[in-house]
Amino acid sequence: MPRSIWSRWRWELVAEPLSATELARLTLADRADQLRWSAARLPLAADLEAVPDCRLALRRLREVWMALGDQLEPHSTAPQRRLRQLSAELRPLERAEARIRLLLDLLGPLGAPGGLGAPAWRGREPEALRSLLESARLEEATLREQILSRRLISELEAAATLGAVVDRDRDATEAVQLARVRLPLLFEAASRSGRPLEPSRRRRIQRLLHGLELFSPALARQHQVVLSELASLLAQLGPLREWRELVDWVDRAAKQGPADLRPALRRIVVRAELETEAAQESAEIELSRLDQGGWWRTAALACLPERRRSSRSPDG
Amino acid sequence: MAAIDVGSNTVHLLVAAAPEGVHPRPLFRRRAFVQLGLDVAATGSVGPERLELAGRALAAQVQEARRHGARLIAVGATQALRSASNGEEVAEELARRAGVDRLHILSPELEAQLAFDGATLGVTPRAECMVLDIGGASTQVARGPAGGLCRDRSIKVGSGTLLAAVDGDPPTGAEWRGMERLVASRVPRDLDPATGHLVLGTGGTITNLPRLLGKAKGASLRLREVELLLELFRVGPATDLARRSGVDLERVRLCRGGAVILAQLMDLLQLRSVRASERGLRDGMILALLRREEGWWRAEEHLVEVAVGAGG
Repeated sequence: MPRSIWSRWRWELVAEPLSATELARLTLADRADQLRWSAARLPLAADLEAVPDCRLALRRLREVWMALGDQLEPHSTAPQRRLRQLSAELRPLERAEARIRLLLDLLGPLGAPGGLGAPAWRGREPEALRSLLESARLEEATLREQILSRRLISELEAAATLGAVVDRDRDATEAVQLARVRLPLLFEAASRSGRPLEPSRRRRIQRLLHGLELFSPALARQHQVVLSELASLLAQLGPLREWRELVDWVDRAAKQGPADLRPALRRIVVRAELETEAAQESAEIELSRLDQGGWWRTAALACLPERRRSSRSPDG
Repeated sequence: MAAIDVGSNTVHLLVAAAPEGVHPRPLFRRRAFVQLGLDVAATGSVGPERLELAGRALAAQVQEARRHGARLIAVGATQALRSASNGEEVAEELARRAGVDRLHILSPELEAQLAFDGATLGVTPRAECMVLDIGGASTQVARGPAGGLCRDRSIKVGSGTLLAAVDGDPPTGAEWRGMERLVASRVPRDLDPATGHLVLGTGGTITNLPRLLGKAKGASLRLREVELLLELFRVGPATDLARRSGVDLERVRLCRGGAVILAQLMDLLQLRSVRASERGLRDGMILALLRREEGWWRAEEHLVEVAVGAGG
């Protein structure tokens, strides 16, 4: 199943401006399919990407409703809310899986020295890490059983058929017109910076990425560069959030764990904190390069094609 | 004989009787919290106010030692003056104010050896021992045969270092993490486990920690008891613990950081328990006075002498 129907050749073929209705029709079907496919993979415990992919599909489908809601039926915010609820239901499981992944990164192969370039483990650190991994796996299995019910899978499948495109062939609204309204807002939100790096900034940048992906067929060709820049930025910001959550989780475990393991658990907290700081530093360097160079403004201009000249223009 | 150590937390006097043929017997102890280490941690040097305080405490203790009949007085300083940028000047000024010939700044090796000698006094000779000495600005991990030459690892973190790193009482979550981080960054990565050693703890922190749990001063401590103490420090202010246990508030605050260090060392060295020894650095200084009198502080000669003794 291809991830997107908008392969590069389409750029060369689209001669007429794309209407908002046509964009809605094509993206809704594409993204609904993605949701159905990812929901079908959820019961496969070995598929470590199934839950994140399903949440991504939900977010991308929601973006269709947020940006092209006028072209869809029903005219209400209920589908958006439903998609959001379903995504929230999956969130704890996604986090539990991320914890296992990071702990395995820390532990390295069978607890051998050198996970993430770390020096040899000391004292009861291997035992403490294995106990953390065991707790994380138990938590993940419990959540999997609780969350991934037959009901949820069928609700996810139903969410893929939540709406339909309003058949308004005479609607002359161009997709690019909607993009000109929505994307500058998303660019502006994504560019807002704060020190220290706020967790909400990753979400704002992610929303921009989803918005750009949605309007991709209506945008100037240069937007592909912007998309890839945003994707690489998010690849740096994602682990940062996961490390932060892991630090808090291990810190709680260190306070509640068996007394004999606590000193080792606290050293693991320190090590996870160092990983978090390294991830934060690299994300901040990357973000400040973009912020200080005025990248967001340039990127917004590059993505939105120039308005076509009006036929009534004196120059025309 | 008397020994005074000018430490990072305290200026501490021990007067001991040294009858021929038996171990020295403590007669009198006096302690003053001067906390030179706080100045050094904050500014890198000892400020005039702290110098004044230390000068008065030292002069008073020298007088007391003489009043108790001490013929020889050894005065030594540890990590705070070792690392202070004006350590030498402060040592000269303190000696002048106290009316002693000299205040010797001990090398980490000599400090560890003296503490080892003191702590293992009375242990079966040549029994393999490990001595943990948690001081104000440094921690010594020394191991070797009782009465012989020890191998030392000096760690540049002590109870006073951690006290200077926190403001809150109880410390905030971030402050606790900061303390753990400081300890993790300073403890060497290649500490071998202490298998087959008799493990002794010395210094004010280790000897007082049991009191905070209602045990006798100098009792043994297990890791879970140290963890219990950390839990108590986490949930309530040091004043509560000081009131309940009858230990000085300053000492209780120092014990907090000391417990953080001790828990980490016990895990890294795989220790089930640590037996606190009432003896330590000052007892070692008294022994050195007995052996070498005025030359007690000559590190190289001292170490060679101990090595020869151990070899014979």
